[in-house]
Amino acid sequence: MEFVKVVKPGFFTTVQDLGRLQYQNLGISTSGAMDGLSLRLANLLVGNDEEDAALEATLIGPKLRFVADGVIAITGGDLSPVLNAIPVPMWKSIRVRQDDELSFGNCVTGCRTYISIAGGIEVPPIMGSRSTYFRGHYGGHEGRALKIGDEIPIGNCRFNLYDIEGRRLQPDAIPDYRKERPIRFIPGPQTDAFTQKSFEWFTSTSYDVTNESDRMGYRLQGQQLEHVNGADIISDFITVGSIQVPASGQPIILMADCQTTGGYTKIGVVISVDLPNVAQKKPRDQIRFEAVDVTYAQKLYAKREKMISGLKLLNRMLSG
Amino acid sequence: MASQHVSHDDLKYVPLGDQTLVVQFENKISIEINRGVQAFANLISSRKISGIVQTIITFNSLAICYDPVRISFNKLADTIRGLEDQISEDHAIPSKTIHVPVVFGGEYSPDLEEVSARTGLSPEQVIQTLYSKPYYVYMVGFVDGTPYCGDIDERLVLPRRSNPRVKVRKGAVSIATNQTSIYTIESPGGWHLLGWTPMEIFNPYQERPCALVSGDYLQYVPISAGESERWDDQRQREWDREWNS
Repeated sequence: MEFVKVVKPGFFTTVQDLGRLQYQNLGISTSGAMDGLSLRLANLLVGNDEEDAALEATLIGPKLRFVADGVIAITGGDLSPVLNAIPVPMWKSIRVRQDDELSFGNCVTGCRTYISIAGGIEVPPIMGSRSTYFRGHYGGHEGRALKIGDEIPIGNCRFNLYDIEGRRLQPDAIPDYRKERPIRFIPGPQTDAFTQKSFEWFTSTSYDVTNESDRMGYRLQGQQLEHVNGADIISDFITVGSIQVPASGQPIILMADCQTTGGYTKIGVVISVDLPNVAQKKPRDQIRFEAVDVTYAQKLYAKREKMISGLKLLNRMLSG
Repeated sequence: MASQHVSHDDLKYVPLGDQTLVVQFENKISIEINRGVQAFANLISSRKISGIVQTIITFNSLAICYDPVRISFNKLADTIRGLEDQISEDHAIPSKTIHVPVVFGGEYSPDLEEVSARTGLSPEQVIQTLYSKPYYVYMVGFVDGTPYCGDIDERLVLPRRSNPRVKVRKGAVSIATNQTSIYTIESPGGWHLLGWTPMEIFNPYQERPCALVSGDYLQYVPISAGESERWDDQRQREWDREWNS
């Protein structure tokens, strides 16, 4: 497939891969898929490398036309995908034919869906990544969200389409986005900056995701947290998942497009395996936080990476 | 020259999530402490410790991103702590001085009058004070290669504007607290704007996207408005040959 035609762009659809991980020392936002796990799974299903670029749609999906035969997969939040007016399954690689149209309906679970295409999206990499950094107007497709009439270039698929269509994930490999699951975090680095009472509030009450929530960060609203000695620190490094608490006492979870340094106290950082669940939260959803230690978080991470390694192995075996 | 020992009595090793370890140095902004952060970063890089993805220097801390499948937090902390005794000034990279052309006055210096009024210096004094000496680049952060440089003359020290601007022009030369910086992209901002540079400080399409990196020195060089308006790639190359090579 040479390209995919954008018939309707959806609410906010961008090209994303796993981001610019090597440039944070130059103040470059990582960007990349908000729900990195879904992007990786979408890619592996269609025989791509896990770090290839795909589309990330938000709340309202796009309408896309395929100009040739190909294989796609849809993962992440359920935005009711439909191929030529017939509902299609998620978490499975699907054959598409020339002039087929993929569109979306209601947002059923989560809010971000990933559409991978065998061959991957072949926009030019900027600083090692094809991810769109909307704020800086670079990366992805012309540094912006998709528009009507865009033609998104697709790379060559190295497999026979018959070999990769109809692949599905084991049920336990499919992420569980249930809303009632707590979001786990590792306390710190500025745990001492908060009163003991505040730390208890943070882990015993729930916080609402406000409308001021996007790829840069989620502003939360709930029990106001108290600082011992003010909210300002000497600016230091912040990473995706960092939970900043400015003077307002209301937490902000920093997400994929966040800045690389910040001058507010951080009460904790969301653990890697729970970041996809945060990425699938939308305004008015609630978040309950649960503290875990770094050793436990790294055990969970290793387990998840092992599952993904298994899938990568399948692709390698297929490519002989 | 005898290597100068860098104090590390109070280094703290804390997790920033499950893929980053932060080494916290003494809790203040000083060139000496930042040189220590630089030195430690270079020492760690030179050891090629398996699992480390990248190191990020900030004012007084060193963030180390790593792959937890290859090395755990505890193992990494132990390994790095074992290197503490070897940190010395020798590990700091020699800095280079980057000269940045700046046009001052009129439309290029929207906050000059206010800064002049608040500091009691004449507008000319404010500008001369700003370009009279080089500034140390403590870190490059925030967004798109924003340099944090200091320390500016204490007579120019002002808090950030109480009313941040919605839009600041790319290239704006600014001050706030004891720091000076350059806006690398058009963005909102609360610093005081004293000049403008036609030089591109950040270009995502170049192999080296940032003109300034932490540990460098930044020297402002006044140019005329006319010269700044005629600035182009060729003039930049000439400038770099004359000043920055």
